Amino acid sequence: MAVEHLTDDQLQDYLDGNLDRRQEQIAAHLETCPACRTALAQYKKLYLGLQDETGFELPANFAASVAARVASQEQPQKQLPPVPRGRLVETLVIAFALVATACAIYFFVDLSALYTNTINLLAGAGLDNAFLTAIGSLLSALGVKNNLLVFAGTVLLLTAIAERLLTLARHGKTMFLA
Amino acid sequence: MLQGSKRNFCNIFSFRRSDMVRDEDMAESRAQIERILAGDARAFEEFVTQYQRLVSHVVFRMIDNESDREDICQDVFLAVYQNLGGFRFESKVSTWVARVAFYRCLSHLEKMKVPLWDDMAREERSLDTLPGDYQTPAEFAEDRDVSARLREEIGKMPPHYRTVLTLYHLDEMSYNEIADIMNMPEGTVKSYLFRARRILRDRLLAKYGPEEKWQ
Repeated sequence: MAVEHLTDDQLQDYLDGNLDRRQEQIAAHLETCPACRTALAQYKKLYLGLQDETGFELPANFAASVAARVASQEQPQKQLPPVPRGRLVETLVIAFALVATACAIYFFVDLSALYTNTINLLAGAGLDNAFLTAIGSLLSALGVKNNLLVFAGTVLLLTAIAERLLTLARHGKTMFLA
Repeated sequence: MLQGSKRNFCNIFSFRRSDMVRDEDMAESRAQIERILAGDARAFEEFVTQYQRLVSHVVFRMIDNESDREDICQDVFLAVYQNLGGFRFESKVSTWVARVAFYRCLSHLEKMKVPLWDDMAREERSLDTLPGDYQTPAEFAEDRDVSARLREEIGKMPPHYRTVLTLYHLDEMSYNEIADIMNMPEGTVKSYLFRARRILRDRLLAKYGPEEKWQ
């Protein structure tokens, strides 16, 4: 008649202490069965091997380095928000607006008269009168070309609107809230 | 199963009511976490020191690439730090930290396309057909490092099996705690554990022979 040995699961349950009252029955069988004692000893050795912690070491300063990393990640929150990337288009738009404004001034204003009056002003003869004359000439020139202010203002306004729309498209509404 | 693990990843920072424990150490943990949340950097460093052994067990066992291990350990603690304010003390801190580490590793393995669920049944069948190429005493004398052999065999197992073995034997966690960490039934944890140990024992027997040579 064949001897009934303990199964692998029974041996492991025994070592894990899962069997409650049956622990004693298993222990009694082990007393009388060399084959099962050998199998149990093999599992015991395996359990010891599985408790081996070799190869799990972190650097001695690990905790300090993690704490430092956390601190470094918190730091930016206390600083001003970084300048958003992708400002190239906005910069080009502003540059275009400046050029357009300069062109408009050149087209609508008689710069030669302004230049002459300014030179006269710097010549120093009758300074007060010359200064007033220069201002008067400038205002006169602007007055003659009274659409200059409207044009320049429109260019600047359109530039500002374009710049904001481009920024909104990139960064969302938060840019307006910042 | 892969999809399941991804789905569960969203819940790793949640704290289940079933985790409720009445640990005497809970008051101490609460005080420690409150200090961290108040901005005490020293308290967080102590926290890392306290749990880095557990995290290293999970991470080092699951991640084969040595160069990734320390970074992942750091990532785990950063994730813990960032979510500490949501911890409701309904589970052991160690259980929660291990859960974060486990899912951080799973995420990394999925990203690296490492197979998570190898066919362990095939492993067991292959053991049945292993030839009895036991070492001679002389060979055995040259290869006494059974622990190294055991580590090598563990490394061949799927990550979930390695984790179960590690949490049970190195961190002395119960089936229930491991089930909470890995989000699987307790019976599955026990099944993995028993199967993994049986395979390891058989592989060592195949290598060193059936006697007490490797004992």
